[in-house]
Amino acid sequence: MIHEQAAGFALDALDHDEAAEFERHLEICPSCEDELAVLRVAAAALAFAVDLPVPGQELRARVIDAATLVIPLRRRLQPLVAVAAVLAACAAIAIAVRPWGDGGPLGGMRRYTIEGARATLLVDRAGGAVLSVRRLPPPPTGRGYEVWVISGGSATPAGWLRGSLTALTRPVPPGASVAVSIEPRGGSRRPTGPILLRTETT
Amino acid sequence: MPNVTDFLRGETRTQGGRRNDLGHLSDEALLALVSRGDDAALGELYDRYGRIAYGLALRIVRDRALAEDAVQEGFLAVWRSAGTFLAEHGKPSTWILTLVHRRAVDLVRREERRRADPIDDRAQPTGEATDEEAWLRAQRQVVQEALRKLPPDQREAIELAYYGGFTQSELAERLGQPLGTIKSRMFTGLKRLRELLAEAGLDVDAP
Repeated sequence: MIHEQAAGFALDALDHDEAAEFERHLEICPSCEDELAVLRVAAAALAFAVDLPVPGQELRARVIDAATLVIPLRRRLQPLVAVAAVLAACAAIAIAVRPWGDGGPLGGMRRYTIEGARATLLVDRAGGAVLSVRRLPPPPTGRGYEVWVISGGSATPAGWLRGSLTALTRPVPPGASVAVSIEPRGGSRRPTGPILLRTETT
Repeated sequence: MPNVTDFLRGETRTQGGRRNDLGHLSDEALLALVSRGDDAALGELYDRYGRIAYGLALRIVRDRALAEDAVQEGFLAVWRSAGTFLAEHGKPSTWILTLVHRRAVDLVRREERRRADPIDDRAQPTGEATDEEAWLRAQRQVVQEALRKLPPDQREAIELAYYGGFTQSELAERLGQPLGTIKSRMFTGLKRLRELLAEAGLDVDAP
């Protein structure tokens, strides 16, 4: 009985297929929806029973930064923001994404999937780019993941990976490569560590 | 013509006296602002629930960097889908924590990090002795007490699912019980938990 899945769904204890099936069922079963609302309140209360470690100060800024790259309003869309809006749609964000309505942010984007890594690069017409990388382990102490734009045989630093979404600090010209390497925290003038990811653009 | 954002901002000015003081807005009003792209409102929601969200995520993924990823992605989901909230999702705090929980569970399953001892009831001194801290501690005590009153098999199934990120099928195998038994323990346990929380005076009304 699908109705019996409500508690598992409220606790996020269904596997992917079961959850998808139950979500479809919810659309046609108001009584399950009501039941779920009740069970969810109890499930979410469990969140309040955990210890209260203090998150790092920078987490708040990360939350805001990640969000403001993905501004859901056309009036505030700028090239880089448009990149991020598309990226958010492409990234594995497990939410129901509403269509934007205008279709605006999707125009003119190029998307590059980086083989062998869970990474995607999106570049807009002006070269504004956002890199999404998933599942990178924490870098060694004192080092970080530095992003490079490689064009005409020279590499220029384009920021550091922070979290899973990174807006590049410089544009990606046509035909350039984007790469990521492990570098000392102070930054390097050119890549010195191993190149972890690299993708060519067209 | 003033839009909803102006209206809500006006309300803020009236009540707070300062233009950027969002502290007096309800969670629902903040979500309405978030759905219109107001990052200060998102910041206020983070200030209200980020701490709990982080504690929850850390409990599940057991790694500070992964926990921060889960919180970031959960709040990103809040930002992206705040406009869908009102019709279907119940209390904002429930919804926000549900989104963060889902991200944390996704991460822990992907990382195959495992997971979950029974909940540690010992209070751990963390944070400062602020009003917020006191409120959180009181809430925590109420929920922990309610959990302790559950029949042990129901409590076990709920804790392993919610804090451990196990699927119900994994729980059936791990606990050596039929799947139906696990489902029934989770269902009955959650219902009972809600009653216990209501008896303890917590607001557990679904919308």
